Amino acid sequence: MFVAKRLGNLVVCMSILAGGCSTTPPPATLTLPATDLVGFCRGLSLDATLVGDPTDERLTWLVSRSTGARRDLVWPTGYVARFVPEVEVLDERGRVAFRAGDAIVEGCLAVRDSNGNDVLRIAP
Amino acid sequence: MRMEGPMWRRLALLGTVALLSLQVASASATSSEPGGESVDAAYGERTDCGLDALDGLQTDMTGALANRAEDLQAKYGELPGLVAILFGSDGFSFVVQGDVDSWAAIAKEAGIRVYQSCVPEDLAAAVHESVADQNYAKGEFAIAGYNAFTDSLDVATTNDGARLRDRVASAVERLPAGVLRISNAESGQDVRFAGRLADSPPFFGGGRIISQFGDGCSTGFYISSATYGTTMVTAGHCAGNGVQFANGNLTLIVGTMEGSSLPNPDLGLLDGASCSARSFSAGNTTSSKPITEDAEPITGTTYCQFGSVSYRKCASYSSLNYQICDASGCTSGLAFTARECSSPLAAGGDSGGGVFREYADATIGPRAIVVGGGQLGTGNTCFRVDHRRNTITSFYSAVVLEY
Repeated sequence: MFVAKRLGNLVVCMSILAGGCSTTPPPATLTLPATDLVGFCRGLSLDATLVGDPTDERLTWLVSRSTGARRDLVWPTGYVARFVPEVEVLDERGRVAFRAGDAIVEGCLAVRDSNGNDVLRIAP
Repeated sequence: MRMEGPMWRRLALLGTVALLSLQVASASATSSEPGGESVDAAYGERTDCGLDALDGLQTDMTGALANRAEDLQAKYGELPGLVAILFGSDGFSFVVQGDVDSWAAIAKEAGIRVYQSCVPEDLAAAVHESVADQNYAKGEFAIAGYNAFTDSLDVATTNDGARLRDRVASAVERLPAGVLRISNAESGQDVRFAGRLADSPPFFGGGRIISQFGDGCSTGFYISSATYGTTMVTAGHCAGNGVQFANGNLTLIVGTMEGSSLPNPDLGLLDGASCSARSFSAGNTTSSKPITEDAEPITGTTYCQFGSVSYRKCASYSSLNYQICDASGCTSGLAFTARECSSPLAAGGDSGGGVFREYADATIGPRAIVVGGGQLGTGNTCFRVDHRRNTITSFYSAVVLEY
């Protein structure tokens, strides 16, 4: 028991030396606006980059490189965003699928809202 | 328009238009001469390129001069570097590209002046290629000249200039806007450049259109609607009503979306600039064909879509009444075609592009427009769905316009 306690203290001290006893959790992930993936794309060509902001309700969107216009996005169900500090979009398996600044050249119209605003999803 | 009489006699008359602009330039512009230099090879004098080079050109051509021009063209027209032959009451002038001095002997022999072109070499080469092409003899080309006022190479044609502009379009797409201008010799109106990615009025089908939000689609074909008048068909998901579209390099407005419908049908109309009953029609950015007999598609016959991303993808439909649903809703009555995903039938941005039957006489017959595509399940089969001709014409109370 005594030996085990000493070993425990040693591990703690080694941790302090190695990493400052950091207990910072991994960056939180935020659920992205989602749509079911139906395997069908009402296609659009794009010349845009991915942008993200954790304070924006959409979290991610596209900015057209030619017109500067913003296009809101939906993602497949299960996709999340994390900010490290720039946005990364993780797929349903937790793999990084997109990062801030990624060039997006093809998309699909996901839905057009009642105001006529188009929401896109990035083509698979 | 086809004019009668020997080619160069026609050119002599038609040259008036082109030369008038040059003379206007000579009289008006005094401080904006372009760079470069020209050589008056006949007299051994070097003068500034542009205004001085063009000074003195007249337009009162006589029959004798026209015949002389014909002789010159026959003798020297195939020599490399020739951009244009200008002519006036004081004789003829050759505009050449490259080593002007090499033309000195020719100039002395023929009694002509030689000027170095101020236009970019690739453009000059493209124009020369058009001049040298045998199509030239069919009346497509009239005269070309450097316009110092606009610092451009102006080309006048005897008709709508379709063949000529196709020949030079690839060069034009690489050049700043306005460097080459083609106008109709009789009307003086500019002739459009035909290019999927940088089109100009009258716009063709198969050209790239980009919305004010940056979304790209394709033009389909030209229709006359009882409700909307003459408009260009595209896909409704490209934008809602009131959204403006430019051409592929964002230099010209193609039109504003109207009659946009989503999801059923997924159709829209572009109304604004003039359009033409032609569509880009090959695996490149410039070739186009006139649109003739439209009809409903049938299964088992090969049709080709001419969207502005994939350019030309041919396949046959296996179904003509397919329905597909997504977050936007369901779209029905679609023509359906599928093949292995390794050889896709369309890509994002092809939407709205026309699907045509290719006829042996180099015309094309509209059958549908591209709506979208996807993958069947998790397999290796990808599909494309298109709105059939009848869906378009019935929804808009329209007829397809033919060339």
